[in-house]
Amino acid sequence: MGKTLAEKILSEKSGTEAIPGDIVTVPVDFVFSHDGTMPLAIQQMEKELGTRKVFDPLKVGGICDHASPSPSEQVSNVQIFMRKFARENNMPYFFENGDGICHQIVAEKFSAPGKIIIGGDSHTCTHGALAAFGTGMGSTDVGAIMAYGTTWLRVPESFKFQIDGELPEHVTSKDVFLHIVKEITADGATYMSMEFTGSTVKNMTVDSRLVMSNMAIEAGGKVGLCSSDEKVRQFLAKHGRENEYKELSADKDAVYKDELHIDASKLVPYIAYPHRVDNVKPVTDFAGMELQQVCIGSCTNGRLEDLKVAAEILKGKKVHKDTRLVVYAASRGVMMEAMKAGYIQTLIEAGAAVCPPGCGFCIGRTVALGDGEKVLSTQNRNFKGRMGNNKSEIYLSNVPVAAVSAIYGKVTDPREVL
Amino acid sequence: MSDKQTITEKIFSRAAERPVKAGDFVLANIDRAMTHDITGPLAVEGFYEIMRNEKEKKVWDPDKIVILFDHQVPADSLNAAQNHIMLRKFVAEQDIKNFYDIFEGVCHQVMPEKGHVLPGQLVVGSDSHTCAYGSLGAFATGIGSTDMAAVFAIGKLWFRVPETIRFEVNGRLGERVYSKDIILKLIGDIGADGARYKACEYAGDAVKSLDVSQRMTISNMAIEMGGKAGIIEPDSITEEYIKERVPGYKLDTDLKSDDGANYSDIRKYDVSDMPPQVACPHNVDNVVDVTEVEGKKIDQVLLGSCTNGRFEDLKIAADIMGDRPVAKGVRLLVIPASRTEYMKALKAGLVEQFMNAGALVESPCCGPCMGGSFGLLGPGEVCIATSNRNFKGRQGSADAFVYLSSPATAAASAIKGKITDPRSV
Repeated sequence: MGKTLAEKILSEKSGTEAIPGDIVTVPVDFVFSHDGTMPLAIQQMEKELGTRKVFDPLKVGGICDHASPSPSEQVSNVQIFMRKFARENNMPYFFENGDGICHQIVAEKFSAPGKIIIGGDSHTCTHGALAAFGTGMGSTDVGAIMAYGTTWLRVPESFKFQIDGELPEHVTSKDVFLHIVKEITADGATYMSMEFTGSTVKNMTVDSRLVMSNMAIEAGGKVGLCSSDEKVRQFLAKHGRENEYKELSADKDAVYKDELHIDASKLVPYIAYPHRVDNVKPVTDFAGMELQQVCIGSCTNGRLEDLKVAAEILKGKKVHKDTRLVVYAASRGVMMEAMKAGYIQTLIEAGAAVCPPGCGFCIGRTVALGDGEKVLSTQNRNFKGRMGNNKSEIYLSNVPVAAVSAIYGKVTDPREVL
Repeated sequence: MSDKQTITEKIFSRAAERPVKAGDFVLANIDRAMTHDITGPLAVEGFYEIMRNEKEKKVWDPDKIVILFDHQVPADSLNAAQNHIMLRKFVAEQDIKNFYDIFEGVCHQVMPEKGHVLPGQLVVGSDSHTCAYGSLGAFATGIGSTDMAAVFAIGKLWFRVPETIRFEVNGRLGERVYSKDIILKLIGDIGADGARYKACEYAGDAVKSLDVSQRMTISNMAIEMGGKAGIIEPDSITEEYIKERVPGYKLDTDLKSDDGANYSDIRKYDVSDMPPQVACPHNVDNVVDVTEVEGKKIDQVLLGSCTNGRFEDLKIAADIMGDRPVAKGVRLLVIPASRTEYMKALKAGLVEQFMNAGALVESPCCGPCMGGSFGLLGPGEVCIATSNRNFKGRQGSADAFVYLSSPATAAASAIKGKITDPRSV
């Protein structure tokens, strides 16, 4: 019987014929945690396992991204605690404030087809875009993996998303996913491997695929996988890791628990409105709604491609006087490339506040909204209070909608004005 | 009684519409009033309290008020976001055109940069480092939010015209010694309360030869010795700076202290052989030659603030660093003082250079300088900063240690991981 991508990876890693429902034990290729979750993982190691020693310092990462640079004495203390642990263990992969968001750093430096990537963060499913089995776990599990280097997994059932056709202008992979979550809802793929395939996916850049994989968890997915191909090889080559490339795709006769067929040419820019990611309607339904803030960035849409699109739209324009535009690049590498290409300059000239790479606005630890404010963000979640205030409203969109809305100060359909 | 006046007495005579001398109490007309996101909300509340029985609750002159957000930008907490909303509403209600939201930069940089400060003006700001504008020959001073509320209402404020201490600083600064070192030296000598309520007047050829950026550093820190103002007589360098912002501006040549004006003290310095200076924890006047603290291990370096966050400062630091990375285990935070300064640095390749070296480059803001925002220190951590205050707890933990220095000393320390004499790298 043929295998899905998830089954293939878990079979190879566990040395068994991994069938959905099986419990398998797999070695973990890279485990990481950040300043939101790592302290707890370290504490759990100490408390439950009686050790502070990691199984392999080259396979454990720590990243200061969620509250960076530290906005409080409490966070400063947490980061000191993490640094001490990393030093003790001689961990070379400790990333400082300003290096970027864990998922972008791990995608650039560690993820590759067939690898098992575990992170103490729900959006670790991001790495599926590189055909890695990436999934988020709680700090207790992460602590155990940091100590032992293995984990158990229940082999997930797979949900196939067959996406074909050409995306219309100003419609992006973000809209593909928002369409999916609209169709299947926030628990529509609970504990399933969401596997994105079809000509639309094939034609997407890796940056675009990362958006869909990143959001798999928003439909309950355990992972969000894409096949590896030439574009993945090039992505790895760009980051000096071409040797880690391997061809990986689902068998033609793989068995899926469910399938959804999508005609990409019929999609439109969408908005996910408060306070659930699966509250999705076309942008036209919100056109004209005034916005106090627009955010471009995050592990969902803070990559070079996103900044390029934003800069192209905002070039020679000004952010509306009653709206703030806040931009965070996903990593130091992305920011440097964007700077060399002139995107950062363009965005600042348009009136954006360009902050150092990190999670920034997305989790409300370093950027907060006020009562009654409406924000349009390219991030992945719009839960009540997510951005620091439960009396504000978060709307999610793709980058073109966000950029053009920043100019008009209200939700604007890029197809209407560009 | 001679009719010779200091520049401070001249400015107050014009603002009070009568000849005045030091020690006089005056009700003076305010030329410009600045407030920001920390002290603004209290000033606005106070203003509406004063106006509670008035039908028209309007400020005296919306065009003379400048409001900026810089201390907590982008809003870093719910509280900050609420303060911003409140001030934006005030700006709209009062039709205040000189308003700068979260992206423009630190008040003391933006005010001069946007042409809101002119030589000879009387400027008040609800921030202690408002004395920075003395660098352009204005009498500028920090006031509390309650006083600011009154200024919003009537455009006047009472003052006791301060006596002046004249600092005559002569000589040629040595290599990698800057105006920051001069002001640290002055403060170390006179003490944190040595110039209390005095107008500090900086003169001498060492001061006259400084560009506006370096003059701003000296004026900015007058308050650290208790000064009411830190004033430098405007000259052709000042005039050039203003002209770039106010086309056709012509300097009033009488805007200077008269020969024979009355000073409460004249202090003379020759800075020719002065080494770089460092202020040690936890007081700004705890100043030593850099050689005395060399080798002290550091965890963080802050390059920025209203004291030393301009392009010129970043350039000095970048030139010293060259292509050398930030030392392992050290965080370098670079925070340009304004969007304009950020853009200059970006265009000159400095932002890229700092990021390549491993620095974190923040969007223009006050950052950790006042302990309210990004980049705070934990207990036991040591920081060398180009900012103006090293009080216990100022940058986060009360158990952290902050040293103050020039951008050159900070940059040299960043690449070495310990306090380093910039002349040695």
